[in-house]
Amino acid sequence: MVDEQGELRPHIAVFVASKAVRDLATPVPPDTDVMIVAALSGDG
Amino acid sequence: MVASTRTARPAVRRITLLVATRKGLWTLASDAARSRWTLAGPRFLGHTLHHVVADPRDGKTWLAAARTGHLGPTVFRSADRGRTWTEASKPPAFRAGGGRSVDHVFWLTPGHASEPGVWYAGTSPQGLFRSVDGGATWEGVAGFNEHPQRKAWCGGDQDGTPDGPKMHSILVDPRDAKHLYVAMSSGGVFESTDGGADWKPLNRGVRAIFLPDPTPEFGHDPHRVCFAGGNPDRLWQQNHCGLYRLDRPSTEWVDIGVGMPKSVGAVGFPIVAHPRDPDAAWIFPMDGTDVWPRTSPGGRPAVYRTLDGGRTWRRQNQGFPASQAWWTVKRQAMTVDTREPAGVYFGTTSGEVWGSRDEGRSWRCLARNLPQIQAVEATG
Repeated sequence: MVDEQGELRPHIAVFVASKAVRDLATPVPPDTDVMIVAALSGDG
Repeated sequence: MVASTRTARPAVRRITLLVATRKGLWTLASDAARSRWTLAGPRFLGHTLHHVVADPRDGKTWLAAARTGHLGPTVFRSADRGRTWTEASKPPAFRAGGGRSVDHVFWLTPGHASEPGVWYAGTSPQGLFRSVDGGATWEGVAGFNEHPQRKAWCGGDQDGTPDGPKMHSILVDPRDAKHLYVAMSSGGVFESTDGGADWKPLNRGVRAIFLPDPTPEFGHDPHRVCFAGGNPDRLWQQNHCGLYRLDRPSTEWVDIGVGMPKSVGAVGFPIVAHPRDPDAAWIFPMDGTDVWPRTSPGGRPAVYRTLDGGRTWRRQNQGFPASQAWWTVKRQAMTVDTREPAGVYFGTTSGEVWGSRDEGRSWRCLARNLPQIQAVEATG
């Protein structure tokens, strides 16, 4: 899900407390849900 | 007394075609006569397979270059001719902190016969990778990927082909494991004589009409380069700007597109060599009057074959539709087998596989209705 430069690959989404984030250094407070969603888009 | 003699016959080998598509891997297995073909698959349904290659050194290892949707680029390895597969534990990836990420693994080449387990991979954007453990783990070839001139050679990611700039046509000299060639769209052809530690452009004589200087040192757009059969001192090249032949030690490519009919032109993606005759090769011309058509000229598909080193080309289309067939054949989607007479095969982006068991004289459709075909390789 993460490429060699530490970036999320395309079509992967991460939500921290229901808020979309791209920065993997985003702090996660205790008791917070982290949601990782793959394949938001597929192939045509 | 009449001596009892038995004519020695070469072992008749069935051929398996590895058909890599935009949606997975299929195989086509022949009978001994190469007349009946059995389609099997899909494997990796949903993954884009850019190249699936059999290892001629052991006859059983297959490697698959896959782009696995949202999970990124990787390589799968089978040690039992495709029955079971294991993903590379360390797929090709650029150096962390270098700013570049592999979008997809585009090309696979088995290493030299003296180096079992060695494989090379070419990626998009252009990068060269090497495995010494049969494809389980991959390291960048620093001599290329970190070369001070690399960025100048390759250009930016916007300078390549529409589906990403790529390294392809990785060739290992069968006489010398350290003598390598690679080709890049764009970038041109490069040579290393020290196992990949250093590289030099090898593009003299090749046109690059899309650049301000039409005869630059690098920046060309080779579509496919291969060794001539039985003579690794001869290279064939199908380029964005025509057809070329190079006879080493010369460093100047010779234009061999001049013998093609003007109405067909000398543009296409693949070129494949006869397995034994160094003067023989096949191409699949496509409309190059503009950069976008890239379909059979006039909707009338044909393969062209040379038997004289590219001086003359002969049309081979027996069995193809006579009109309204707008085929595109990608650069790694044409191949030959090693039988006598040689079989020639190609796959179209419209999902058809065509084959000839008489060196291109006559053709039959071996499979249709597949996804877009990226690559076809033959193994015995």
